[in-house]
Amino acid sequence: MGALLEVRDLTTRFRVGRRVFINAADHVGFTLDEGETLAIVGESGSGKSVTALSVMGLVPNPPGRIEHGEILFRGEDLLKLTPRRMRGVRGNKIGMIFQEPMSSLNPVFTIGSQIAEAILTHNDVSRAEARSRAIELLKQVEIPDPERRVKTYPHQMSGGMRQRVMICMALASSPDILIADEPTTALDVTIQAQILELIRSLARERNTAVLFITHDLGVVAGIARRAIVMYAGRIVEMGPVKELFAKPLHPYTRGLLRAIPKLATPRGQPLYTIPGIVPDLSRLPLGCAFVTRCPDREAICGKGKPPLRTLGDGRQCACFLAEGGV
Amino acid sequence: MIKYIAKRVLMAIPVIWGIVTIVFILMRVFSHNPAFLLLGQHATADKVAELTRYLGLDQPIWKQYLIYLGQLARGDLGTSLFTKQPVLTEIMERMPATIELAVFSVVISSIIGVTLGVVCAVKQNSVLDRVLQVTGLTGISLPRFWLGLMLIIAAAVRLKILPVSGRFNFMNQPETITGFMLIDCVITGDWSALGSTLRYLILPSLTIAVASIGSFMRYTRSTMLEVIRQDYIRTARAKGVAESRVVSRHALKNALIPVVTVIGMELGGLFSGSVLTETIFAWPGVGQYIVNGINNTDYAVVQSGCMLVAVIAVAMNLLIDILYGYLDPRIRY
Amino acid sequence: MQDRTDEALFFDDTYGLDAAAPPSSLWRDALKRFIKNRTAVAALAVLLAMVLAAVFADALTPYGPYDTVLSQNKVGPNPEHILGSDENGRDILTRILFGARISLSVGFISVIISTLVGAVIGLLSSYYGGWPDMILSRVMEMIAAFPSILLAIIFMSIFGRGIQNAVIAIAIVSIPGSARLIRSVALTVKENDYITSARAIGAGSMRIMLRHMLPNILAPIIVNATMSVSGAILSLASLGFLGLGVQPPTAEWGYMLSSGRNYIFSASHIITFPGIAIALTVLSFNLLGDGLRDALDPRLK
Repeated sequence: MGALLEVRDLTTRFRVGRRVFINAADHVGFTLDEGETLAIVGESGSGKSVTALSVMGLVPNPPGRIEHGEILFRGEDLLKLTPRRMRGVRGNKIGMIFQEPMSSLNPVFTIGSQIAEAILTHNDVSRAEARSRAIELLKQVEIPDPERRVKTYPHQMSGGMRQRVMICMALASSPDILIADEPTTALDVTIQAQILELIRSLARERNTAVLFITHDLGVVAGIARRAIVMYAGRIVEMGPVKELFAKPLHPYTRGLLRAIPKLATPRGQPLYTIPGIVPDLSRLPLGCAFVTRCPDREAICGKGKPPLRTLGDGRQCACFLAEGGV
Repeated sequence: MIKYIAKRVLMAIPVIWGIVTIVFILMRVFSHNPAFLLLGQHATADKVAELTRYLGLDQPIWKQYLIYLGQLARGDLGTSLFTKQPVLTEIMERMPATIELAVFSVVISSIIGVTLGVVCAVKQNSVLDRVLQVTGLTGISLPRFWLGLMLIIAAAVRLKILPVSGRFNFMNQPETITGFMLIDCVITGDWSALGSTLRYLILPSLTIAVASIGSFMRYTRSTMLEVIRQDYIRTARAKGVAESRVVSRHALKNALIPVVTVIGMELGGLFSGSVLTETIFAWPGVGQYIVNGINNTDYAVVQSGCMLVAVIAVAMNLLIDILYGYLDPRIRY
Repeated sequence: MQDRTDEALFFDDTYGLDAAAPPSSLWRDALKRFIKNRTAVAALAVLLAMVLAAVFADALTPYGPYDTVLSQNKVGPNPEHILGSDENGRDILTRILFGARISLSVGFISVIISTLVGAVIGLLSSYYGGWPDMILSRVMEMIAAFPSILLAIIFMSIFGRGIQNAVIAIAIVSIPGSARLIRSVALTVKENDYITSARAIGAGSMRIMLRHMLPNILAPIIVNATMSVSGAILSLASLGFLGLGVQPPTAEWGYMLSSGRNYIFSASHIITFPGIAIALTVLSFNLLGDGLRDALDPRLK
């Protein structure tokens, strides 16, 4: 049996100047299995959001365009679907929630009508039926007093509540995949934990696969079993979270892990940061994109792009210097 | 919602007071003694002094202001020098004609203008978009009174198909109930009069609409382009909502909020613009009345007429504000 | 022109990427963008031609604006009178050229006045805030609530016809608009760190307003002023058409339309050409304003 979702060699290109193009996602490939939670980690500009939008067919065009690759959902290439059939996938087979709950809901419609719309778009049910399902969904995301809440407008709710509403809409048609693009970044820390727990439990109950996008490695450990690390549009490392944390193969991953402040860090010792800044995607170095910031760089690193190599027990890494099983 | 409306109404009061006061200041503080104007340049000093006293113009200015406000409160806007009729009565007889033309034109042009604006935004930078943009700007740039004259020449004289002046055909008019002829026609069920009345409306409202359509279209386009970038539009697309529905429902309802403000401003502008259009089409409204006042140097008519039109424009803006509250829940609650 | 902005916005907002902006002067960039906008450049060319034609009107036409040849009244366009003659046998082209002098100068002067006054009011009320802002804003709102053409009509009916009064009337009715715009842009500029730091190093109020705030709000002021010129020209023509503009028989476009109105059926050329002159001028100013806005403030599109 093939994977639920398989992304092959995806390259999404953006035009940023008259003759300047960047590959926001550059030869990205990964698989997502039924019911699995996969995290994509990276800084802003690493291509993680663009990858998600590419799967949804929501890359803003212009300036963006999927240059090549395949996105196979149950073996069918989503990139070859007509816009009409793609709409049948969006929100129905694949749901998505976004980073900004404050601006992601339409301010002029009640939240009830926005959830109902998600239901009515893909299911042949009456308005009344959609409404009662909306109330049911609000109950499932633990919003108190859902009968009254359906009649309120987004501006009357807090950020956490709105994110719950977003989850309702994304799950309205019981999709096979939920794409969560930094769903907790804009929220308070306590609310973050609640939302994460909600996504995890709902996904488990419904056996929904989750593509969880975040810049926060701390979050990854709690939610995903497998993770992808992206840097400058490319996958630099991929593997089971446990091993990735225990024995990171790519120097960038090591840097990220070291940058997480730990309680054990002795007071007074400066916190670690990766030196340098994320490179401008239109002026990438010739070889490995990380070369300018890499503490372990050698002559070969500036010569060519390191390919993503399989290094034993389901782990992959794009570094010339990484060795499997070490 | 009621609180919102009450607040809007209260806020309109100082604006109306401002209008009234500006007219007073211009009339009494800066202008010559109206007694001169009433009596003509060759009046004797005695007579002028007598009339000055009679009109209360020898009183201190603040007292004159209070008397003036009192007169306004009683609906006394002065008397026309020409017809010797109270100005208020004459204006009220003519107000329905002005309102009917302005509202009819604004409704037609907002429907067309907003639709075209949405089309332009969806087809941004296409040939159609560019052509409509330039056409719209040209429409805005045409002086309305000149366009009216050109339309009269083209449609009425060369083609002999449309009436070029007046508001109705004496042989075919509805019973007057509200003074708004379209409404009267519908109430009385006089359909042939309705057709005839509509024919009289075509040229004047087309004259008005050309520029209004242009500005509504341009404004709708730019707000639509702004709205279409918002996160909630991406959310709607992520739900699998059809693009036509994303545009017509999710984007348009948000874009309409600022567009409605512009429509309101345009409506206010049309009331004042009536001085030009009504003159050209001999439309028996307040604008034509004011222009007659100008020609007869009938100052009470000009000043009170302008003031009242300004007040009506404020009232219309108030209605628009209330509609605004209906469109935007963030204001309503 | 459009696509570049969109990309920049998209990246700035969504992905925090820097849309590689080379550090070069704002005004030089604006000039480059403006030159690429062919419509705006064409509009500018038309306007320059009009200004030249107005300045050298005497040299361009053998007739004077008041030369009446009653035997030759209301003749259509012909080799002698390219745009025909009016009801008093005056050459229409000549009167349009001389009319351009009045329209353009009234347009420019009234907009200069209203922009200067508006800038003073807008800067003061945004800088000081509090009750000065409160009072100035309320007064501006009151004047703005008065439909502009009506206010101008009342003004002219009280003070009498004449170019000078027309300039004042048109300037007064456009002050609130420019004051409000300048106040709102100045408010956003005031929040910037460089204003705070200027204040922190002890710069005086005058200096902050003129040296630090004004240069940063110049772009929207210029765009607004350009658009206002077209409004002022239309207002003058409207007043002229109502018989409240300049003194007859001065060659002014609005007045030409009003006096030619009685002959629309017998000699439509009398009103056709002055109207085209108004429309062309107003359109050119609007296109120029559009082009300037796109060039100076690409985000405002």
